[in-house]
Amino acid sequence: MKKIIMYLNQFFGQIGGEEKADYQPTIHEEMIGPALAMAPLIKDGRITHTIICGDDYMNLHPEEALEKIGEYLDGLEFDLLIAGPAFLAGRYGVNCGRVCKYVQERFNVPAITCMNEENPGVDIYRKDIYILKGGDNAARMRNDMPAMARFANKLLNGEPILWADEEGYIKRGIRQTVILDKEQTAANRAYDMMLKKLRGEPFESELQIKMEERVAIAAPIKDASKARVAFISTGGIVPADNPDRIPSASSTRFGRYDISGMDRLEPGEWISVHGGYGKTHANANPNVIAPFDALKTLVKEGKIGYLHPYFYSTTGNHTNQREAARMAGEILEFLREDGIDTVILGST
Amino acid sequence: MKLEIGNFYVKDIIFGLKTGYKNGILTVNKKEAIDALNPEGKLTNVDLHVARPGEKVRILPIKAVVEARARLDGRVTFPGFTGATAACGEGVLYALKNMSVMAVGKYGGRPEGMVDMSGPAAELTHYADIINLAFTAENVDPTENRGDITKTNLNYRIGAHLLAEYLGKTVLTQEPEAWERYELSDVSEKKLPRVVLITQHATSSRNPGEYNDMFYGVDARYLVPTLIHPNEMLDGCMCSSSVMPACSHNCTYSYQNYPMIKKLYSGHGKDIDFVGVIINCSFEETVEKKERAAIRVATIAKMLGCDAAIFSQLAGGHCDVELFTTIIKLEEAGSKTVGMCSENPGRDGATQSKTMLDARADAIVSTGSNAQAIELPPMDTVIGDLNSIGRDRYPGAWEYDYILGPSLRPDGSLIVDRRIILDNDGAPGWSNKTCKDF
Repeated sequence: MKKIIMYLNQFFGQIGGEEKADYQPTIHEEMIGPALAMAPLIKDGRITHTIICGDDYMNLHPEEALEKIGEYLDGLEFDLLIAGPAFLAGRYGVNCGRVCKYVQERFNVPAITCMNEENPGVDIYRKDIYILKGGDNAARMRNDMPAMARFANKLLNGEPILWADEEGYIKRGIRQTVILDKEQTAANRAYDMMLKKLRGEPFESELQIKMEERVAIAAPIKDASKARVAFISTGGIVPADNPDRIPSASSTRFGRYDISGMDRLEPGEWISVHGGYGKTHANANPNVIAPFDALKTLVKEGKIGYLHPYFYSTTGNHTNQREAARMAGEILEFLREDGIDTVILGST
Repeated sequence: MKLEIGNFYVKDIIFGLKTGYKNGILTVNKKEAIDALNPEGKLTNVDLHVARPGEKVRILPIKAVVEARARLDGRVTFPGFTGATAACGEGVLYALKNMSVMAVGKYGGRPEGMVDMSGPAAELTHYADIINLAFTAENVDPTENRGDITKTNLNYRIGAHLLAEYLGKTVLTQEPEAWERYELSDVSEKKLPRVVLITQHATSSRNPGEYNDMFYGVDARYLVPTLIHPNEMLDGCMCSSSVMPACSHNCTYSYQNYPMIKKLYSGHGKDIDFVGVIINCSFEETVEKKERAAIRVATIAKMLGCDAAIFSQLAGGHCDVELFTTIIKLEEAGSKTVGMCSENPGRDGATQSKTMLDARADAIVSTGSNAQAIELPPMDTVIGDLNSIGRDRYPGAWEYDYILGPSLRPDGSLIVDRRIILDNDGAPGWSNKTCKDF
């Protein structure tokens, strides 16, 4: 019977929410939270321990936290570590990757995790460990757990791990030969690909070449006193009744609000709906997120030529790049109409 | 222009008193065969061996592979190379199928490769699927016997072609078992998409002597891309080089049986109008020469009114630049282009696998990695010299590696890069391998 260790953050480890994010690592001889859901899916192994650590503690004190986890594991026999799943949770994803890499290297035991492809942990750790492709929120747990369990079972049984798309893990940047059926010769594949390309039918190149899409940095404004300026925020500041129902995360919508008649955003009239930061300060003074008090003053002083009368707002929290690019395109249409030549993009 | 190939399907090769073919059995008189391949006595210690698919046999260092053929009308099989220059691509050829003639030496090096007839390496090359009649030999001239990078291997190369012709002649009085017929019939009224194939050839050695591919028997160095009839390629106009590393070595056998040409012929008049083959140079030493070659290829394709092109790449490095530069030019000239190439992502697979990348090449067929290491079991029989591994300068084998140890282990097992496997790349269309992201 193979032995498995689970790693969870304070929330999934049932220690507490954001207020317990500084929770130091602990190890438990029991299954907690997602470990309970994982256990029945593992064929020939059992989860012997659960390690829990607060997201902030691991993030701010990685060396101490990892060393502590190393000490816990020193005396234990185990065959696999499973961390997460971490969905689109940025700190949790990075921490899962960090723990997996550390355990894999220190103990020479495989360690896997699961998170959404846009989680910042992916870019940092995809070359070091197997990261299963996961959903973007905890409701996707029901998909993520079986995917992780299936992969864990293969590792525990010593079965060969096939390529990324076949297994559902995120590409680690490794290209290797795969032998196909005898009749799948390069001549046959090239011929079929050529016919599809000729006929405008979809085909898949076997060497995908993606040139990264980079947006060139704009040239500096020569004279701000003549600039026509607009302000856009991903900080989630909206009118108190949130008329556009801007969500706290994974937004696909933005609001457009007339601020022409006001000198600043009045507390109480404007609130933050952002789900990714403590909102006490933002609600006490919305101008710390969307600084219209300062912008209006600069216009009065003649330091800014013109301020666009509308304020555009959404939440950047978990919002994916594709949706963000689409919303930007829609906002741009309004800005072009007003001849705007300068945009200040504020986050949180 | 019509080429007819009458096929005889060889089931086994044995040695006997009289060279001849009967009921699928090719009998070879060793002495006569050796005299045929070594007419000027430039080779010594010549012997013949048979390696069959599935046998525990390892063959190395292989210098040339040719299919046994002869002509009814008396022209030589390889015009300009084994005899007088004459046109290729028309007439009747007789061919011994399911077998090859291989030239094997004692010393390996850059252009020499290995074939295992069974085990994991047998899956990597089509030469493990056929019966190989291999001759082993050494050069009489001691300066030619060396395990370094550049050597013409000319005595071996000519020997293999002469032996192929000698064996081909044994069936000229018999009725072929089946026929292949190749003719680019006029299908213009069907208005099918016009397709050209670009093949790439070893033309890179500027050394005096005959290292490169031989086009009608003439060293193809300084080749400027040229349009040929596909039948010329199938009919011995191109004889192979002594330049490319084994994984990328397109042997004469490969030209005689070019899978992409056969595939395009199979669609001619149905899906496509196959207009011809452009033979392209490789490893051009300046950007200007690479650009010039790409412009020539694209211009020929445009003059032919091509709608599509397939580029079968040779090797990597320089050829990567040539592949992508040419694809871009072809696309600009209106040909929807598919590239066929191997990849070299490093032994760990983590390196960018082509020297140049450009997203405008949006249709690539990968024939697999030639850099990945592979462990191979010992074999019962070695044809050639196993000690050439580690001793000689093969790409893909080493004397000692700090992580992997020596390529050749005391028990005869090996750890090598796939680069040493003859035609691992299979870029003329043989390969049933690809690369995936792991």
